[in-house]
Amino acid sequence: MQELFEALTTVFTPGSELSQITLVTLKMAFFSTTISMLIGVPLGVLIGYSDFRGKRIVLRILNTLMGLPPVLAGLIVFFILSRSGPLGSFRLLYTVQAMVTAQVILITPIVTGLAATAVTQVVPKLHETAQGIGLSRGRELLYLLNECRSQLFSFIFVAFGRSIGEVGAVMLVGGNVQYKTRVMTTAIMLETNKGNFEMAVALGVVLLLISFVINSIALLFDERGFTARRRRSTIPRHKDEKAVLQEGKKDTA
Amino acid sequence: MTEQGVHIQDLVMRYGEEVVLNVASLDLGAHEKYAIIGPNGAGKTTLLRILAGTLKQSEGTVDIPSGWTVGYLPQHPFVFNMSVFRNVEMAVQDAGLSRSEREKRVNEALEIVGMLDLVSARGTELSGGQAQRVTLARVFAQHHDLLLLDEPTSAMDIKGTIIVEDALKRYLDQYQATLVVCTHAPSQAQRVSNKIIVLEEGRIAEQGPTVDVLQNPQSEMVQEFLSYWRL
Ligand SMILES: Nc1ncnc2c1ncn2[C@@H]1O[C@H](COP(=O)(O)OP(=O)(O)OP(=O)(O)O)[C@@H](O)[C@H]1O
Ligand SMILES: [Mg+2]
Repeated sequence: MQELFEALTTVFTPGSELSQITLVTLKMAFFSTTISMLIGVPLGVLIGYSDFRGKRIVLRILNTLMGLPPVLAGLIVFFILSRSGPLGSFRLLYTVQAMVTAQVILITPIVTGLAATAVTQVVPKLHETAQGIGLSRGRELLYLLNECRSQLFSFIFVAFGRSIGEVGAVMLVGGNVQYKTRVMTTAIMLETNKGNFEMAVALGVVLLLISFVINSIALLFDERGFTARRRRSTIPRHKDEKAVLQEGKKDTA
Repeated sequence: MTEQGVHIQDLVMRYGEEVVLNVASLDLGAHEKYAIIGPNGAGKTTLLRILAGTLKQSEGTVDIPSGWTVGYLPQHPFVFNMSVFRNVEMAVQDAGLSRSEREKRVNEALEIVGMLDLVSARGTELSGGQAQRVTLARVFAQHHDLLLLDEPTSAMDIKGTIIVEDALKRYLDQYQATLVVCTHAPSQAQRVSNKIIVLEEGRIAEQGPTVDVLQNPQSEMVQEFLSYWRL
């Protein structure tokens, strides 16, 4: 318990190793999330909205990539960035950039797939209605985005959650280098292996806290988006209602 | 000489091998009010979609007089997660109207479907019938020459139905529009149309003046279908 409390206070002590690990974690998650969203959301919306040959195959590939084992993504990036790899000259292996790259490979398909699914559910009805009133394609797309906005927005939190919780790929391409690429998850692994269980648990608690805060923010946005404002429900009225109804009665009798 | 209307020739719609619509020839006169009735799966929606141009027929031609504007209300229209006002306004956004003209159009359309009271309610908070009125107002706001409505009152109570039907008739008179409305209810056909087309398994089983067909159906199928009416 003492250890735990100390760990929590050190997170907020500038310069401590734990606060430094937390910062690297947040930095990695921020960039992974931002890049994945910037690529995944437009791509997913486009796939979901448009009707093209081979759409089913594209969706199937996307589904496969959504389940890509993180270690595999790590391995791919490792080979590309290693000395003899195609991008070896950039010396990016064991940097935060390498970790972000691996995570973008992992998370972008997830965001793309989620966005495509969200949009696909709305498109058929919306499209027919839009065509019926002669909306331009551009306007239709804008209305579609507006309709799915809170759902698309919520993917930020999915992406962020995936990013801070990921171990395999980050370990492989980041290397868990102290003060440089060590993040919460890899630090937990290290501390557990060293037998520092209290430290590992403390790190776990901090990770859980971050997760909790992120999810709370997500929920807040969700509620704001969906809260139905109460409104009085009136029976629709009509100018000459009595006369019209009387006339109608003759026909329906 | 009556004004040129819509002409359909040798129309076939196929899904795979199955023929779901087969209309050798059909003329829809200008300013007339047509009701399309027939059982589930008869092809009413398919015909309306082809008229609206949202579905491409497998064979045949559909000629709509040049210059006619067409408004189409699908059987399951989409109600957007925004205010009732904005739900209707979207239909006149590109009509080159000033803001106040737009507002007037929207309010007029909402008034005739009896939804003016709920103008600032959210589309997603409406009941099924209220939502249907909004989608109808959306089409009304556009002032078309040809109105294609697919079961526009299916979610409305009988009182609401009659009010909306009356609004529809006044609208048609005012804008000299031609109407094609799909419905399950012979009683609705009787109230809003002067011509009727009975579809059965993709073919026209019978057509003619509404009163004649409803009171004196010639084919056995139509007699049988109508025998369930006013039981
Ligand atoms: N996309 C599709 N693919 C395959 N068959 C279809 C498709 N759309 C419609 N059909 C078939 O075409 C036939 C006619 O359907 P349609 O929707 O036109 O019937 P309807 O008369 O409007 O029926 P309802 O009264 O139930 O609305 C039905 O048998 C239906 O199964
Ligand atoms: Mg139908």
